[in-house]
Amino acid sequence: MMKTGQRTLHLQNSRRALRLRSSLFPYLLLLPGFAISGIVIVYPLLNGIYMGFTDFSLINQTYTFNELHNFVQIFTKPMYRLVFFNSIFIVFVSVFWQLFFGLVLALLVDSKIPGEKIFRSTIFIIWIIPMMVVTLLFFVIFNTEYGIFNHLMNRLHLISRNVAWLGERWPARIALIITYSWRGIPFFMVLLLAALQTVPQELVEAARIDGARDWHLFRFITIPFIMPIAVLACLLSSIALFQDITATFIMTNGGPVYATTTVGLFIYKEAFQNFQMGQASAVGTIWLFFMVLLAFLYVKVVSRNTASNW
Amino acid sequence: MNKKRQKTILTFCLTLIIVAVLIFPIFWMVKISLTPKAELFTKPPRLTVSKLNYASYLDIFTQQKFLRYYLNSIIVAGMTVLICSLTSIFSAYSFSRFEYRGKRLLMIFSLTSQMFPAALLILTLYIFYQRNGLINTYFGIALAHSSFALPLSIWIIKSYFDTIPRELEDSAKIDGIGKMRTLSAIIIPLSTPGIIAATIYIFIFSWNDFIFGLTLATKDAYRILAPGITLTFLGQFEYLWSEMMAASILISLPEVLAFLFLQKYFVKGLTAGAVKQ
Repeated sequence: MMKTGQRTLHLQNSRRALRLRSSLFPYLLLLPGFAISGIVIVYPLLNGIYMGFTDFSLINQTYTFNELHNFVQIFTKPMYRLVFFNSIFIVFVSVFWQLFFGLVLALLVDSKIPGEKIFRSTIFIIWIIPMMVVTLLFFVIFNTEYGIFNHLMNRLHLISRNVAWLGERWPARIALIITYSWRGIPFFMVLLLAALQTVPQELVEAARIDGARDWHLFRFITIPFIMPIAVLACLLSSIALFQDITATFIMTNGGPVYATTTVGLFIYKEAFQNFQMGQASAVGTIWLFFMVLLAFLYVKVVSRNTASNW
Repeated sequence: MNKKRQKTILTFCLTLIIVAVLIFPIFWMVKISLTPKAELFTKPPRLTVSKLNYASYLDIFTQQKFLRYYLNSIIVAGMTVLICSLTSIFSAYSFSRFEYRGKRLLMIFSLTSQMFPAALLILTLYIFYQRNGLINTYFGIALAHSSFALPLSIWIIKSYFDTIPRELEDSAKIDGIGKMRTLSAIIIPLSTPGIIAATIYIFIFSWNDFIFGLTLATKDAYRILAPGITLTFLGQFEYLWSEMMAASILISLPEVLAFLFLQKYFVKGLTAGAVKQ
């Protein structure tokens, strides 16, 4: 009797152990990946937020609480507003042109022209070369005296004198927007092309038989079908551009004055050139809230539109 | 019929013009890299070269520094691919096949972690690395790359796992085959295209990186290509155009070649999770 009871208990225990092990299994699978994220993302992030409340600097590496001084600076000095404006303006305008040209190209290539694949592949190269290469290339192209851009613009009578594209406030912003837009077009084109190919042809045919015009087909069938992907592409591209420091760092170094200093570059320079880590982190923390907002929008769109299980 | 044909020709020409304009900067990069010094700075700039000049390529190849950067980039990208693909296969398996408490939250975290401001992370990462001897190590740079490449590769692999029918696993389960064995013997072999696509994007992320490589390595011996080349030409951007463009082409070449041979994986990776299949 005693023996059987012990055995049942033992069995129960081992069964519980087994169940526990199998319920822990999916977490164990996640462990290696999350360990890396923990070291390189979570810890630095928390530490960065904490640093924003101190006057930590690269030279004097101590955490001394300085009573929100860093945040007060951000909300009172106009320079910070300019930096945030630069980021938002440059990124949004760039994403707009990426979407526009990406969509135009996707529609053109999708309309059964010969050489569809070759066009797509050729364009795609633009997107895989390193950002640093893109930046050096446009640095050469935008050169005031010998750059091809000024030459071609003069030829087309779009400008009447050579513009110092990287040396004046608005031209520098435009140059950056052109660089970013150019870079992102293939990304939009490939995604939108894939989306266009999901539009059911039967639906298009049926609508055409019912007498729908091309424009109506586009407005009431194509657009609703590609909308989710277009939104997704816009969000992904905005996030990627907000993260980019390379282009501004190499091409303009944030200048002239602060005209092309984006938030990312500002944080980087404040930390590593002015050694003001605390101040830089405070800007980063505010920026973090903005990015989290975008990220959640992204999650919402993804979870609504993918077939994957959540 | 005739009208339809006209329309096709018109569309084709329009596409050709747009593509030509878009690809022009790439053509220009190649052209500048092959232009002799004397013809570089002329007014107006010439669209053709009188004689192809390979001096800038030779110049780069004979520089010890450049070969060092190339090797460093290969090592770092290799390590990143290794770390990332291994860990993301496990994570993707977990996300794709199991139901558990907190899964949604963990998925959201892994999806959004690449969106936290990189500039903010670099600051504290730099201090963390400095205190733990990870500055100027290949592993340190690869680790930073991994954390940013991970979400993408997890997502690509997961969405591929999702497409594999579960019947196979169910029968494996009945036969008493364990979960790890199911992963290695059934799921992974069937998912090679997805894993290749993920690997490609991990490699590209690491190879293209500028800012992590710039910050986390202060010695030339550990610099990867993008920051290495940029620092080499820093202050000479205005003069050494041919060399700059030649170096740029040599950095991009492995990726362009990979793309030409592995095209379908590139598109697969890009549309993974974004487009319903």
